[in-house]
Amino acid sequence: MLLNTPMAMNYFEIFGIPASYNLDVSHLTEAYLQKQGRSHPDVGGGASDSEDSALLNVAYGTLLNPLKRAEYLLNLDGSDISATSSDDTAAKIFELREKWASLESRGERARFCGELRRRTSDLIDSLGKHEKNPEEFRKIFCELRYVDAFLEKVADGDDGGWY
Amino acid sequence: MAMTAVGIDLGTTMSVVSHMEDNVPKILDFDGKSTLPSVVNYSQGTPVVGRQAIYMVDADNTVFSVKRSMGTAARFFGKSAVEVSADILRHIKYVVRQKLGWEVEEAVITVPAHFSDLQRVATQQAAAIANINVLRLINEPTAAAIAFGLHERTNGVFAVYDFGGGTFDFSVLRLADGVFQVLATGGDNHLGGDDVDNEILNHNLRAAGLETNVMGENEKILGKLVAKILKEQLEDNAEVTRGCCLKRGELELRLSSEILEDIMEDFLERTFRISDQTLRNAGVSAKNLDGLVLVGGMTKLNLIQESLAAHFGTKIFHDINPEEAVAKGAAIYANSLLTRRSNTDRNSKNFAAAPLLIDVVPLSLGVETFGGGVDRIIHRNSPIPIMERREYTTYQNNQTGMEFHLVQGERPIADECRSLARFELGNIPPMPAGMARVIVEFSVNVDGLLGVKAWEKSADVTQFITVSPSSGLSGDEMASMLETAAANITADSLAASNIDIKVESERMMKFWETIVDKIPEEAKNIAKARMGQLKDLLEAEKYQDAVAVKNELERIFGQFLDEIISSRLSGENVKNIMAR
Repeated sequence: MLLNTPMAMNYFEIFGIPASYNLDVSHLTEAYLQKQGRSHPDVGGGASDSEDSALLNVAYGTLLNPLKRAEYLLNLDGSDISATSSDDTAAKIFELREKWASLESRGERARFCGELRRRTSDLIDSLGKHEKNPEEFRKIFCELRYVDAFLEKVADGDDGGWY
Repeated sequence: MAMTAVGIDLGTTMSVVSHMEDNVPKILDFDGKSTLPSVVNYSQGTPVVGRQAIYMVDADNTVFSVKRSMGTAARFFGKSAVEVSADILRHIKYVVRQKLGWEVEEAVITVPAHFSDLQRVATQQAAAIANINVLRLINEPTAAAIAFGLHERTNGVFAVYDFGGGTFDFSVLRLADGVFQVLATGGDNHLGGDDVDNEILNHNLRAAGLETNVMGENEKILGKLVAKILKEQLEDNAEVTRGCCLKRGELELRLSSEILEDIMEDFLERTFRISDQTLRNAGVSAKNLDGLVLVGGMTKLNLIQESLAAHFGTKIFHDINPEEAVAKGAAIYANSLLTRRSNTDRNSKNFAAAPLLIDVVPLSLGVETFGGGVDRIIHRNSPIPIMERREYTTYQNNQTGMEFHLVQGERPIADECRSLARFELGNIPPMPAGMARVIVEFSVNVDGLLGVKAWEKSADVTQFITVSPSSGLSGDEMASMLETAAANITADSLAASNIDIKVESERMMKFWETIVDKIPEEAKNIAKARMGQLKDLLEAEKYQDAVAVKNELERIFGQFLDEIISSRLSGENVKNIMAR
C-alpha cells in the first residue's frame, strides 16, 4: 500500500503528527494541503507524482475518518481486529436488522437513522476518551464499525444517488 | 506557440465557452448570447448546431439533450451520443475559428459532478473525435467554485448549488489560499430546468382539459420554448401569458407566481434532500457554511433564491453569472494547467498563483461479490487521484480463472448499480481452493477516470483494464473515427474556413430575410443595411470582413429570435426556409 515511501513511515508520520486517535483535524488538513500542493499531478508532471498524491489522499482519508483512524491505530498496534468481533456483535447486528424490518413508514426509518447517527457520534466521542484503555477502545470500535456499516447499507442506499 | 486556455461547459440544454484573455476569462458569443443551445439538426447534410437547430422546429431530424444519453447505446439518426456531442464541439471550434481566429486544440471540459465513469469516458471520446485534447475533465460545481473563489478572494467552507438545464449538482468545498478541496458531492442527472419547462407545459395542457400527450414532437419544441420564455418573464410580472400554436388551434399558456411556486415545490424538495445528504457526508452543517454559491440558469429565479435562503440559513452568493461561472472556472483552470506545463520552475510567481483543485469520486466503485452484493473498493467522496487494493481468493480447487464485474453506485445490490465492465483474470496456477491470492487494484486519476489492474501474486499474470462504455462506441468504431478526425485536422484548419463563411453566411441570410420585417423598426433598419453590406462583401470574396458583419447581424437578431420563433412561425416554414 505504501508507495515510494519508506515502509517504516506510517500515515501519521507522513503528515508529521503524533500517532493518536485524538488528533487536531485542522492541523491534519493543513499538513495534507501543504503536501498535496507539492505532490498533486497538476503541479508536478513527473510519473511518480500521481502515486505520491494518491498515497496522500489514502492517508488523509484514513486519518480524517474517526472509524478508519481507530482501525488504522489498532492495526498499527498489531491487534487482530477480526478476532474482536464477538458473538455479541453478530447478535446486535441481527437486532438492528430486525428492528429495521419492523419499521413501516419512511418517517419511522428516518427517525431510526437519526438515532443511529447520534449513537455513532457518541461512540466517536467515547473512543477519544478511552484511547488509553485498549480493551474498552476495541469494544467501542467494534460497535461503531457495525453501526456505521449498517447505516451505510440501509440509510445511504435508501436515499443516496439516483441509481 | 502559446496556447490559449479554453474552458467548455458542455451542458445538457446549453453549452458555454470561455477563453483567457490577459488573465481574464471571456465568454464566447453565440448569436449575441453567451450560450449555445446543445441542439443538433441533421436535415441539411452538415449538422446545424445551436439556436438555428431549435428554430428549424424539426423534431424528426433534431437531437435535444444528447448529454442525457452519454455512456449509453442510444442512437440518433445512426449516430451515437458521443458523435452528436462531437458535432457540438466541432461547431464550437468553428465559431472560435471564425470569431477569434484561432484553433481550439486543448480544453478543460466540464461534466456534472455526478457523472459516472462511463459518461466521463464518453465525454473524452467526443472531444477526441472533434480533435480536442482534453487537458482535464472537471466537475461543473467545482469549476464554478474556482470562478467564484478567485472572484471573491476568500477562504472558508462553501457549498455550490448547481441547478442547470438538465442536471442538479451539490458540492461542498473548502477554499484555502488557492486550493479548492472538494469535501463531498451529490446530485441527480435527471433534474433540471428542462424538466420544469416540461411541467409548466403539462400544467397548462391539463388546465385546458387536454391530455399531456396531445402535442406532437414539433409542437412540444415550441411549447417548451414558450414555457421557458414565460418562466424568464415572470421575474418582473405576477402573471404572464403567451400564445402557442397547436395543430388544432392556438393554446394560451399562462404562468403565475403561484403556479410556478406549486410546480417548483417538488423539484426544490428533491434538491434539498440531495443537499442535506451531501452536507452530512461532508461533515458540515448548513449553519457552519460560509456561504452558498448559486450556479445554473434555474438559480436566476427569485423564487429559488428565497427558498434557498430559508432552507440553508446561510449567506447566498449570486454575484457571479450563474450561467457563465462553470465555463469561466474551466478556462481559469485550463490556464493554470498550461501555465504550469510551460513553467518548469516551481518557485516562479505564476506557478504559485495558479489554483489547485482536489476533487472527489462522486459514486462508489466496487466489484460484485459472490451472491450479487457489492464490495466497495473506492468509496464516494474519496479525494482523487486515489488507489486502493483488495485481495480475493479462489473458491474451487484448481480454479484457473476468476471473473470480475465492476460496478458503480451506492446501492448494496450489484444489479441496482451501474455496470461498468466485466473482465476475467486467467492463467491462475492450479492450487487448492482459497490458496490463490488475487489482487485487484482500483485507481481513479485526476480526470475521475477508473483504471483497474488485477494479478495473482504467485503467477505474475497482470491484467490491466481501462473501462470503456460497454454500450455506445466500440473500440473499432472509436479507432476509425479517430483516424478520420486526425485526417481532418487540416480540413478543419483556418485555410478551409472561407468556404465555411460563405456557406454559413448565405444560409443565415435566407433565414434573416424571412424574419427581418418582424423585428423592431430601429433594429430592422440597421439589420437591412448590414445584410446588404454582407452580400457585397461575400461577392467581393472579402471573407474576413464578412465575418465581422455576420457576427454583428447575429447579435442584432439574437435578441428577438426566441420571441419571433415561438409566436409567429410554424415548424414547417422554418425548416423549408433553411433547406431552400
